[in-house]
Amino acid sequence: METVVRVLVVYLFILAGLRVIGKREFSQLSPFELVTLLLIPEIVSQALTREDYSMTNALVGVSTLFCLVFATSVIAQRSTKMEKVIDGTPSVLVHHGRFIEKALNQERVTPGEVMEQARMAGIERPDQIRWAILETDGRISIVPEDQSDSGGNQQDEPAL
Amino acid sequence: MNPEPRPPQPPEIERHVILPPRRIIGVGLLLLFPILAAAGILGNHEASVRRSSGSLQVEVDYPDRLRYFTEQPLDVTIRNTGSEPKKATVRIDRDYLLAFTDESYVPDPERITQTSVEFNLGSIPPGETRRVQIELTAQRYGPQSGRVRIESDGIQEEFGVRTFVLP
Repeated sequence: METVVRVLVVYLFILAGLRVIGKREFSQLSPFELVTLLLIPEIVSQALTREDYSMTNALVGVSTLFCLVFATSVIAQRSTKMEKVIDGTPSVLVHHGRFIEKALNQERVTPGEVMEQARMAGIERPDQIRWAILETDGRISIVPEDQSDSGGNQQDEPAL
Repeated sequence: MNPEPRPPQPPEIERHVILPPRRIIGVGLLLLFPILAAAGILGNHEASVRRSSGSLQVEVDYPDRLRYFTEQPLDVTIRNTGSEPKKATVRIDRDYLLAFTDESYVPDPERITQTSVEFNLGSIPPGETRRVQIELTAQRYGPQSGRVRIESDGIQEEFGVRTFVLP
């Protein structure tokens, strides 16, 4: 029983912690971020298992974790509101070549990082960027002006 | 003031969860572990046997379920409820104790033979209690069973102990 409660508590804590520190931590990791993510399991492992090294305890812990992951995905699938709470929402960093300072500062992304991603997408100037979006998994998606113009979809409307 | 720009939104769908039968079985199996653990079925559990033998009241507390490499004590408590002092000897099957490691005995055993570990508790005055405590650390998986025998004035009382060691 204690293991179930401990895994539940640590899972919610890590989930909340990762949501708080932001999307960037999921993507390409800086050395600082890598060390942070490597240290988390080291710190919590004792709290999860205490001194019970039995296979039974490990199976209970892992299956509890899997069940929590599954339950989280079901909750996110069932409700748009919960999906936003759990996964977060994408942030627009650049629109039609205009850098959105508030979003960049909120997400702690520099214009240089956006341009780095833009160059990887074959774009050399900011005015060639139609959308630069920080996705919920931490990646920066770049939509070039040319591509959307040539694609014929000039409207920023959903297409069913 | 310009509204915040929003990229094209994905279409809305009717949200519901579809689980194929195989996944339902898988999730059910996964759920089984935390449920059994929450119900205490996969945790350490202690059992107790109490019996009177003449003027001696004997209680044996032992782990009946133990996880691998966790520890729990085996306690034998003997109380003299009579008016005369009584001598008592406790013997515990060695085979049973071999399923555990790092046993610590209080008091020290009088002797250890091929078949049993023997504790001489001496003479127990009326109204007094003597206790044998062994810390058991589970080492061998599966069911382990043995006997705890109490001998006093030529009368022998036997208690069966059974511990299931979870892997």
